[in-house]
Amino acid sequence: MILEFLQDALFAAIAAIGFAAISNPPRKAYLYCGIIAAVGHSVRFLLLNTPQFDIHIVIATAIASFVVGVLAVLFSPIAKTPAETCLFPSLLPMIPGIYAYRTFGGLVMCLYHGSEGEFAHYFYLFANNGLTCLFILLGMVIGATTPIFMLKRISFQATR
Amino acid sequence: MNTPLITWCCIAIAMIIIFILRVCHNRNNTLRANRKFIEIGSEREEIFVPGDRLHPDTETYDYNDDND
Amino acid sequence: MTTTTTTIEITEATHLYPTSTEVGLFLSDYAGWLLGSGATCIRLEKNIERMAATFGKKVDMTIMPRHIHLTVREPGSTELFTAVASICHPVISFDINTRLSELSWAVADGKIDFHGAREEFERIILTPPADKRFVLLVASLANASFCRLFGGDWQAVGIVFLATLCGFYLKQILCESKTDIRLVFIICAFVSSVLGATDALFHLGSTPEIALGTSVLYLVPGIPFLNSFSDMIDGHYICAFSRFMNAVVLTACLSIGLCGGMLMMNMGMF
Repeated sequence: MILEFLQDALFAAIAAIGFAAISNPPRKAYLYCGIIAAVGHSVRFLLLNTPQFDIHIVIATAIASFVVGVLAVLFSPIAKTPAETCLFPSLLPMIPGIYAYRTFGGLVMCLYHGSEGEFAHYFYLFANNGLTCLFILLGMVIGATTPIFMLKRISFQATR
Repeated sequence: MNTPLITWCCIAIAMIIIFILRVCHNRNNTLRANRKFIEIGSEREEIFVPGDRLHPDTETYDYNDDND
Repeated sequence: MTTTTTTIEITEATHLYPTSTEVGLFLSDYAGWLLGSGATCIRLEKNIERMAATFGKKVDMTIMPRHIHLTVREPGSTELFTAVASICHPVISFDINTRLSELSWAVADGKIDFHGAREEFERIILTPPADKRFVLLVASLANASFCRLFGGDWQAVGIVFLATLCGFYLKQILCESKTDIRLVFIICAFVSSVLGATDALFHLGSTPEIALGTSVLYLVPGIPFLNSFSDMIDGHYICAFSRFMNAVVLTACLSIGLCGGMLMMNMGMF
């Protein structure tokens, strides 16, 4: 369990740094993005994989994003960047990419299969994946931006 | 041969060709400045008639302006 | 870039305060670049207000999907300046975003005057993007580690690394040659998914479906999705909707390429 946990954190950090690199962050932000994303993803991993919690992925992602947000705001005066610069790249490993393209896959399959039973099945897959994707995104953004407003004094003066 | 294997081979070979072409292209560019293997010509170059102006921007007038 | 100018009354320019026209021209360029480099609407508003207040002006803006409409006026004067700026720089760059925000604070703290700010702005927008080979390598590593996060075995990780390397390389080439971004997404998703299906084709590992599923994840437009929802929370619904549609269209293109790849490789998504 602990090994899995550490592995999860390590790969989340690599993923965050890599996906952050696509959106051209300042060079000093790479390290912070990696650390913050590792912590955030581990929190979500713990919440989802501990049987005692039994928590939905939307809630788990929102809580993990809240942790990411708090860390990003706390790190922003050290990194001398606005909180978003570290925040958004750190959230990228939690973006529900698979749900997003499965939504469209479901839609295409709906068109492909005409009979009622199959259509209902694929429409269910489309709606299920789409709703999960939307609510994960909403939960992520609400979770991650709340700390920016809660800790306003730190976050809006970080680049001074 | 089945479709997946053919598709896979096509894509893999295409990627390798693109990679090699790009590497050669970059090397050529550093050796001889801007010598392109394939390029899209402009409309002017394709329908060029002898006697056309070579460069559209340079207006050349044959007649004399100050004819008094 | 700036198309409309309306100067009603020109007051004499002082050395301390630039005219509304000058401020308006500068702020409209600034706004176009800040929004184009991936800032949220609330950051744009805060930065613009902060700088305008330092110059003794008041600014009101309408943020539209591709343009910003901005009016600068001086309290207690009838001088007025309106500009419409296009949003430029289609590549998201948090580096430019950060440095433009720093510039706004430097102006507000009086560390830099108007002309200095103008010069600094011209310098910032020339910032080159990160080294392409570095981005290519790191993005491929990231997608490979993503595969591991979803529980793929090491064969799958290796295949995803190669599939991403090829797809992302193709994306960089196509973007360089100014191909339409939607076409780029379809082509790259197709190539990556065909190469991601190597695992299933040659029966290399035990998790072929994870390799195929994660091989296209580097294309998911994460930042537009996040920006869209954070604009929605701030009440910028038009901007939020346009960014959301943008991200959805890109995701749809990704899915088209992926479905095409799966069809050719005789694999199902579900």
